[in-house]
Amino acid sequence: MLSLLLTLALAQTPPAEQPEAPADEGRTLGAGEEPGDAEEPPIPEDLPILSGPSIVPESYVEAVYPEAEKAQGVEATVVLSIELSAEGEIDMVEVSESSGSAFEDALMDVLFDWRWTPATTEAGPVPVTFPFTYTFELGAEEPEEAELPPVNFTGVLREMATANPIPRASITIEGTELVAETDDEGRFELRGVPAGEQVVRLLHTGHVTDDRKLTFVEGELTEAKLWMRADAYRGNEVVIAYEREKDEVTRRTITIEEIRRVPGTFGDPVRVVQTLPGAARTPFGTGLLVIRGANPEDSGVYIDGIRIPIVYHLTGTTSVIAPDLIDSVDYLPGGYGVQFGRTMGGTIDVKTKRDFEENGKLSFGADILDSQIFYEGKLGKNKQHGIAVGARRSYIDVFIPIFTSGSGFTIKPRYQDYQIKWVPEMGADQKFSLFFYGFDDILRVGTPDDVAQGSDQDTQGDLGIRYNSHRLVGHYRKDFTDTLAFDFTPSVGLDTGATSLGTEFGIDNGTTLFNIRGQLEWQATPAVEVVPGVDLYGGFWWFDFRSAVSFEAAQDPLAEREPVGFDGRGSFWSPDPFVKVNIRPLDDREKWLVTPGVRLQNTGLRTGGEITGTDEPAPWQWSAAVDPRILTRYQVLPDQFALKAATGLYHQPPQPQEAIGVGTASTVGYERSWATSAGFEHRLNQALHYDVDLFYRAMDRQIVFDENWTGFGSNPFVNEGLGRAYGLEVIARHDPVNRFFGWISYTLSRAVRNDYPSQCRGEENRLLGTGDCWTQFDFDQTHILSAQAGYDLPKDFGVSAQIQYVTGNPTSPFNAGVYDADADFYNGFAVGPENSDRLPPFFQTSLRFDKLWTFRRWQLETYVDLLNAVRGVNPEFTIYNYDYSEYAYVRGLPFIPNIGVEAKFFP
Amino acid sequence: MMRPPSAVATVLVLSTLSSCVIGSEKYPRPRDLSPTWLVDRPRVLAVVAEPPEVRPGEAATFSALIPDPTSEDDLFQVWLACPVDDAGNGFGCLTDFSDVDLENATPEELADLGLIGVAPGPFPPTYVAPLDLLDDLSEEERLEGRYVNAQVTAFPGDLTQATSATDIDFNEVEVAYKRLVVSEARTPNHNPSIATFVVDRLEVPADAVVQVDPKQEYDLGIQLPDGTRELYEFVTSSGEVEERVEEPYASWYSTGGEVQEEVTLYPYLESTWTSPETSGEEGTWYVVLRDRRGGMAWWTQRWVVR
Repeated sequence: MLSLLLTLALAQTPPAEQPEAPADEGRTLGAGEEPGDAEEPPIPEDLPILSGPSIVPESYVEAVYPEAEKAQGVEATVVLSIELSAEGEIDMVEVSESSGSAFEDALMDVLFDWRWTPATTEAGPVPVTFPFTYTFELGAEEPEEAELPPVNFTGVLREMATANPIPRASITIEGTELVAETDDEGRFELRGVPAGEQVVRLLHTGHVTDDRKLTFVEGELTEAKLWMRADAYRGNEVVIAYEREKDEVTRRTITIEEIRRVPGTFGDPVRVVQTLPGAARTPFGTGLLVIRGANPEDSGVYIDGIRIPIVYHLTGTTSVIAPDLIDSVDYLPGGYGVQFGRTMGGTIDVKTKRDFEENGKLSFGADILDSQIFYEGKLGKNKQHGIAVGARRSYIDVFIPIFTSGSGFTIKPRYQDYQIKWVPEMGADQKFSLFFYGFDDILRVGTPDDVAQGSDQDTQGDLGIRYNSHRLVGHYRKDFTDTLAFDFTPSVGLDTGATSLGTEFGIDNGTTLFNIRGQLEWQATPAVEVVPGVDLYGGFWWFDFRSAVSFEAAQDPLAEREPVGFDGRGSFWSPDPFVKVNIRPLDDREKWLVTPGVRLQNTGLRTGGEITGTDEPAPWQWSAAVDPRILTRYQVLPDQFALKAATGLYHQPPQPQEAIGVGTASTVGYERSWATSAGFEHRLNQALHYDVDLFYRAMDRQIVFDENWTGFGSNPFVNEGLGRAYGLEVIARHDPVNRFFGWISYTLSRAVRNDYPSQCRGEENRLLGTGDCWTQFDFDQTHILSAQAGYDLPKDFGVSAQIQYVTGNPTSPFNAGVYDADADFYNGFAVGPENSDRLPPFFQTSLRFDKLWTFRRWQLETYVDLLNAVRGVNPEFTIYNYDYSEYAYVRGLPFIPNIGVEAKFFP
Repeated sequence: MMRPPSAVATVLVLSTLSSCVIGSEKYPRPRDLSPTWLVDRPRVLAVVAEPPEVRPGEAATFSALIPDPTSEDDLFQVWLACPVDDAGNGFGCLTDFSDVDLENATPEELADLGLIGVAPGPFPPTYVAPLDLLDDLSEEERLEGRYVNAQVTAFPGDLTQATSATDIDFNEVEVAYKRLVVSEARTPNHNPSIATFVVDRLEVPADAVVQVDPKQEYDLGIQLPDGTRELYEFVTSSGEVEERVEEPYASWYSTGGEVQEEVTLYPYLESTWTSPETSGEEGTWYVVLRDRRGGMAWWTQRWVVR
């Protein structure tokens, strides 16, 4: 057997002028090495070669050993000087040393057929001259080739449950030297396996070593399909496929695996956001989003860039999108760019999967709340159509009557949701998808006919709430070149709702929505990317309201009542253009990012119907606001330490019910917030990192109820309120590595409001929101501490826990009351200003235990989720007795053991 | 030796299934609050104006149902009246008594403060609606009229010795108010009346003490005399005249036992009451009837457990 030694040495200067590098600086390939495996030669200092030249491995052809010299046992070394062009072509070859022309000729016969990868520097490919040594060496005399035994054992090796092929696994026969390695498709073959029962050992990193007994028959081919269990299936589920642009200052990304195992969250990704810094705890764990002191309606939730109206089903336990379809959840508590608008608080950006299981996966899950089914896979001859279909329905409406059957009251909450997504293959430079999803929630509270619900004869009867929403979202992306791309997301949606109380009160409403987002991504220079775009949001709305009593009459217990009813309709349009510029000013593009941007917010409203008090629709009202923002991130140490800061304006249009003028044109305009944050991120090692952020938000033009409202013909709301929120956020995180994940988050904050500053007469500090005119925000929680962790035990057991400690919410205390004899109730005397007291703190722990069974084509997971296993009294709010002389706390959720199963099938 | 995972998990599961609440007994629960139907302290249950609706220049007298199971003595009542321009919501007449020397104040000074009487006293508290009270209203508005709030403040006996308002702790008094309608309505309101009180459908005389068995359910009810539900005219916002009939409701109270339905709407003027366990325990039922137009009536009935 011949062994060949190839040597490449490198000079970085143009061939005519630079001396050749000495031969002893050349590199030598060892026996069995391929050219591409050789180490890089020393690089001269003044013009650093970044890569090459090298022989393209597929083009390498061994030179034929001259027969005469071979017969004589002559070995030789041929040293050449090769001039290689920047195109990888040989311009000239000069023989520097040779042991004979026969060897030179043999080498030249093949040399010019080799293809070369040129040398490259920072400036690109460059011509080089380098010495090249080729050695003809005779090894030990090869024995005559023995006749190989036939292949008598073939097969394929796959991973249990997923059925994915396992490449580069080792298949050995115990007691022999026979070994085979699986290829990329998991296939293998072995020759000469002895007949009889043999132990076949399967070995692969990341899978459990296994021995199988197989019987081999002389002269027959044995084919087998073999399976191996992965060491840890949980770790294999983590997929974050989208590309993080890192152009938001504070973006906390959580993996789907962690999400599903945090106890007390019902495996819902959006609920896990409430365990991160800056997110306040909300009553009964209902999942309202209160981020950095902002009202719940001030934060936005997006699915694939399209805002959704509500995040949670009516029960507040689960979000409206199936967890199986979620690829990632980005939580942006503040400091986000101009691509997000119409919100002053935080943003939650949910991205759904674009890539589905190659061979398909069918999941079915059930717990005490609901059941869900989900399929994802790739269909078509070439598997070019990615499909995901999911549905979920609750059944707590079946169980609740069991517990309330004796009372005469019936409570029936029912929710359901669906998702269908199609992602066809479009080629490397295009992406397309269609996504259709929606939900439908109902809550009915039935009351017995012979039991009065209070003294008001017009509020008797059943309570009914229904809300549903549907969206069709398209997405198209085209990469025109490496520096220009276009991203387009059109959507259309329909939201309807109906609320009724007995037969006398009700409101029905509906909205047809259009949300179209488009942006160009233009890499103008290597350091500057310009992203202009437009975010159009608009549509048509209507409502129909009926009541047994007018608003004025409802305030008077002796007033005669007559039914009132009116409708309203209108349209709204908000085309918001924006442009942001990602500037990476340093040569190391990952070092420093500065993103200035500006967004022009426009809102046009038109109202019609009886609500206006006229037959003609009100004229269009347009308002505009400009949001300049700038974000920056400086990576002090790569992947270790980064500084970040952001500041900017955030405008938010009025909520629909605030923007409707009651018998007159609305004068309510944008609310505004100036938000600033700064902090740093520090990664300690592969698994551990922590973030620290300081934030400050100054809000003005907040929409508050006009105390001087006189009823129909005047605006009930005004832009007068002020707000301040500021604090410190810290999160320390252990990424899901080595079977453990967890994080601790802590927020120290203060959030206050001043609803009527024009009436303020006392001293105050408007910067910090202190003074008699300022009251605590309803969800002001000074300390928010949350810790969660999970550990993968052997044999696919898992355990996870969560602990939360939160300062109690503000409350307004009363201690006495005056009896209204006509209305038959007490008016309470408030003690001190609004929200001047606090509820006791909140404390709770939750635990989760799970076990995963893995079979050949499917997996089964069972879990027990013990919500509130150990908890404090956890008052959610204060209630008083009839005359406000006594008080008690309505306590939070009780202990809830949630038992569930989930089965996944891999066809 | 380390236990196998399954045993550890089992222990953890069993220990947490017990579900621990820290500080559970430290804070009161909603079920610990005094129910609305329970009369276990001085409280105002009803305020009656007779008549409940007057014309300018006419007078109305006032009385209140203020039981006090904690004392044999009647509560001392101070009555005030004050016109209001709105729905009369709030806290009645907001009068500053801090500089008032109740013992030495002249009748004129007291009248300026809105004082219309005290009880018990020789005369019931009386208010005469001023003749010009509705002068600033339109003809249509005068049909609806305007409210005058009548406020009663009931003092426990030990506070009646206070010679100055500054001596009074107002957390210990009971305060209530009621709207007197002053209008030029064509069909002014009258107070409803209660004809009889029934227990398990048996009529009970007003001065009787009903004997009940321990821990038994009884159906309490009231019967209305014919005509107590008045017909009246209502002018709608579009100017149409509607004839309507009153839809009264009853509020039920007791000093002991348990009332199941605190409020019942016509025609369901009945409530279920469960007697106490203790033999010999005495108590009183109260029921207040409201016609939703300002008219009120009440009935009291004593009971004893055999």
